Amino acid sequence: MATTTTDSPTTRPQPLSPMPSGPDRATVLKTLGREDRIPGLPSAQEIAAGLIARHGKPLNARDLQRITAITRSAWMPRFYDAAPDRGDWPGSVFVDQPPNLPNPEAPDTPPDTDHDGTSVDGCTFDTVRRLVDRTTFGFSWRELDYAYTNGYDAYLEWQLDHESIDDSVLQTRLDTEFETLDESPRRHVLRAWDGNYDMMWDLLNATFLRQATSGRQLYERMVEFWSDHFNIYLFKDGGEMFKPIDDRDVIRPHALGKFSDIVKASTRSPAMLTYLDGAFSFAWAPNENYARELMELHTLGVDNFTQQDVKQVARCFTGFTIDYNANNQSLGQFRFESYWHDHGTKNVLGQKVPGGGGVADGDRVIDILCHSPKGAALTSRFLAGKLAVRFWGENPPAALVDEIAQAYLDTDGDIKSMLRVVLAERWLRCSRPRLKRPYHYALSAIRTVPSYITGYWALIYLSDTMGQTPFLWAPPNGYPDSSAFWAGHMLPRWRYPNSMFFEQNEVQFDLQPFSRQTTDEVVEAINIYIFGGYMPRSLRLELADYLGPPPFTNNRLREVLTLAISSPAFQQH
Amino acid sequence: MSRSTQGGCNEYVDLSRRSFLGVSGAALAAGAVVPAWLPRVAFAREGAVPRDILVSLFLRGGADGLTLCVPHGDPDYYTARPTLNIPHPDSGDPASAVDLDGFFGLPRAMSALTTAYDDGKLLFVHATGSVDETRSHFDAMHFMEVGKARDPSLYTGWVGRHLITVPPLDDQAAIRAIGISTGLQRQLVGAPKALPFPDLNESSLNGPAPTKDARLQSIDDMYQRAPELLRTSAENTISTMQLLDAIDFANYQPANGAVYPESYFGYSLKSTAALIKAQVGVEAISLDIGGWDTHESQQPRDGYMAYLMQELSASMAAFHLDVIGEGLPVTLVAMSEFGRVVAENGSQGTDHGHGNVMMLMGNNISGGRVLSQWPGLHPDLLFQQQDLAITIDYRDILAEIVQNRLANPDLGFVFPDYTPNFRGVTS
Repeated sequence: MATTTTDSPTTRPQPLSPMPSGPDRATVLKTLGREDRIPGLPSAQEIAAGLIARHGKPLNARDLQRITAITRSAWMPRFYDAAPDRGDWPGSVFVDQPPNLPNPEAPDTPPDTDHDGTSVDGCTFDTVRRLVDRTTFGFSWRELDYAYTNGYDAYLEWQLDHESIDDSVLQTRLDTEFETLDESPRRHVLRAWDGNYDMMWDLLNATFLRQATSGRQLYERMVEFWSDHFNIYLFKDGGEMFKPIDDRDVIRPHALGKFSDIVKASTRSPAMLTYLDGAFSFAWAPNENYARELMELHTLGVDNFTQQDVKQVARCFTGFTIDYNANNQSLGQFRFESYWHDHGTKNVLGQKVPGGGGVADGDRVIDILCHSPKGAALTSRFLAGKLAVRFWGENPPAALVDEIAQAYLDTDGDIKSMLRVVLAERWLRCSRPRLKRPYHYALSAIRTVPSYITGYWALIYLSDTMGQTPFLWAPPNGYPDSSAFWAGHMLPRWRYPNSMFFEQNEVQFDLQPFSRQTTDEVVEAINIYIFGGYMPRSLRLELADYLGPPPFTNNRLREVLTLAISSPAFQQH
Repeated sequence: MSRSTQGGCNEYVDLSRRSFLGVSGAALAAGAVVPAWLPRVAFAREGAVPRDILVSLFLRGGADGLTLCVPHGDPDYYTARPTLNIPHPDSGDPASAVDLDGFFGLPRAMSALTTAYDDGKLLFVHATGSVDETRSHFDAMHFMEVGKARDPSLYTGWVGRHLITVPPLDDQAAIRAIGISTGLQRQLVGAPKALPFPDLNESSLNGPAPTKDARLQSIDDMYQRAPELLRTSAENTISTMQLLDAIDFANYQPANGAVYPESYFGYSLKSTAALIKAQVGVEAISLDIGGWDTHESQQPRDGYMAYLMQELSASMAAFHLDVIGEGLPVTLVAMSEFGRVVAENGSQGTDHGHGNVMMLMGNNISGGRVLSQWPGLHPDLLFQQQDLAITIDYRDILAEIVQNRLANPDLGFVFPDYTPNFRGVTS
């Protein structure tokens, strides 16, 4: 091999070995508190650092130290052969009373590939069960009991009227654990400038806690839906300080409100302005990124607008920026720079936006996209299609999409009205099974097995191994909602329950309900708790076969639970 | 497995995610034809299409190319970096650069690579990168891995598009591309049979070891009756698990006395070597090494960045001995999303910049030199008055590898809307 251009010296200094110790990295590593971790599993610091490294986000020494302070190791020593007494566990947040088998009409032999009583024609006779499964992150007995007692419509209305559902236990816990949730934008910016990303971790952790334990499950499902729809990448520069505010002030207030209100709030969200480059868009150099995504991903849908529309909409949003002046109380809030704004007349979807409108140009654009006859027709159909896929299943019938879209048009974009259609009993009865997305799958295991959440790092790590941690989808289209996309790699999904039952100690499971005398009783307990009474017969046989005759060790019970959760029936909902 | 002598202080060694306590497999298998760390692998057929396996390293965070490969012959370098420089080779300073070609040199922390360089197998390409002006990590990595800037419709990666346009190296392969990561790196997205594995040695079920096989059997049974999509996916997953499980990564013995650092990255590259030698049909492996976003306390001579560079260079040097030195058809490329501002900042660090260095290693890489059309570091010559300008588009380099080493002429698909200018990096 030729060494063409080198005139290298004949002898070279040898590589230095070992390196002299440098203070920073060494000091940092000393603080990591890794003594109580087990080989092969990352410490909490490595979870955070790994997540961050993969996404290219800087993590400084101080951040690492903080993470150490938050939690000790997320992992527990393996106790493969021990059977520790779990009697002193704090107990479950979900199960106060032993449940009764809810549906006496469940057949002996449900079809193998289904999980909720679907009959041969693909339609379920237990619509209540399906409604609960579709509107929650996995049913818990709290929801199922309520639904069976009160009936389909009453349950749906109860969930839609989310503010009437008492969530005070959760709220108290959020208030106690996460001090950044209520802070001002200014405070978040100052934290970030100081290298402190507490608000980012608080958002991730609070989201987990809310989705897993809130009684307002449909509301939380819709928060997730809009977080995908108005995707913002937490690790893009600025996301760490602005996305928590976006979640609080844009997504959550309007998740079951009026669609155009979310869009309007989103146009002024510093997180969105940063993520889609709107914050530095000038009359003399408009940035088209936000304008394009606003129409393609937030409202009209792809191919329903022209490049001319993009240019015009971009002009309307010039000057929408963020207050970066540290002396201002409004630091980190939306700011309109009139000098940057294009004050001329624009034309969007064939409608005139008069000159001189200033900051009102933004709302005018949203009104055209959401309320004008042409805009509403396109936006309603785009939203209807996405809602149908999320709640009904892939390839929804055209009549369903039409009906949801019509509900939008009839109510000027009332989200609850659209949900009343897609979740109507007549539609949901014959909906299609859906592969749970990874985070949903992870939550559903935690919700169906009685559990108590004491920490968050294990779930952040495990959801990342499965490919879905909230707010960490980089492209603007949001985490995919397609079974084919998520079916690619099953191993992390099979490893997940093993990690939950054998490796981590942050989510504590109460296995008392499964500690029964006979094989049939154990399997039946799994049937009731995890499958709501609809465990496929083949799975029942498989689990009984694996379990074998009593006595059952603690490990054996846990293993059977991991198999139940790994099963195709539990992967779907 | 002995500890790396490169590791230095214990705290650094603690970065290792795994302990290497395994008994030497090769010693146990003395005299055997098949190495002991390959207990159950059937070797691939002889005489497959001559084509390299691609190993792609991504230095996440924006690595400082002016430290990785020092332009000591450019006096403006020392003007812009009064404290964060690597001293001139002739300076007599103990931290002085190791000269490469009279103009460029390596810092001591990278000097483990001089062997590969002298061997002609290692090529540096300088003042290269993605010409898009973004300074966002997120955008820059995305554009670079996708292979085109600012195209919202393009989500697949350049490696993914390469793989989908060539027939498999081994048509029996259970898996063609692996990302050593929790999630598939963007560059691999779109590839057929591509899966992420954060640790190749943890490619099986976790939980109690004694029942692992029985539980996997049970899962296999359950998925036989699953809907088509899940059944197919489970079959692919299980066959890949079995394939990886048959390779005893923990006891893998590198060739030629190569010693990989006991860091996660070193371990990952070592596993990559084992995977390549197992000849199971994997054609592309992507690895990441993060931590390059050195806004403050960069410490290029010793300390933070020096450690990181040592981890990188020791791993690559081991890979050179272990894989390239065995004459295997492998091309390794290493890149980062952008370089860093030429002038140091007020926090003993450097901020997001533009042009950077790439590294290529392989038996058919025209190495032993620094390929560059050096734009100069004088303030008047800088990109946006602050950064190393880019005189070679990184796609010129990658496209030449795709065509000449990966035997894929479909460059228009792999790098859409770009006409590459080959620079003679392959031989």
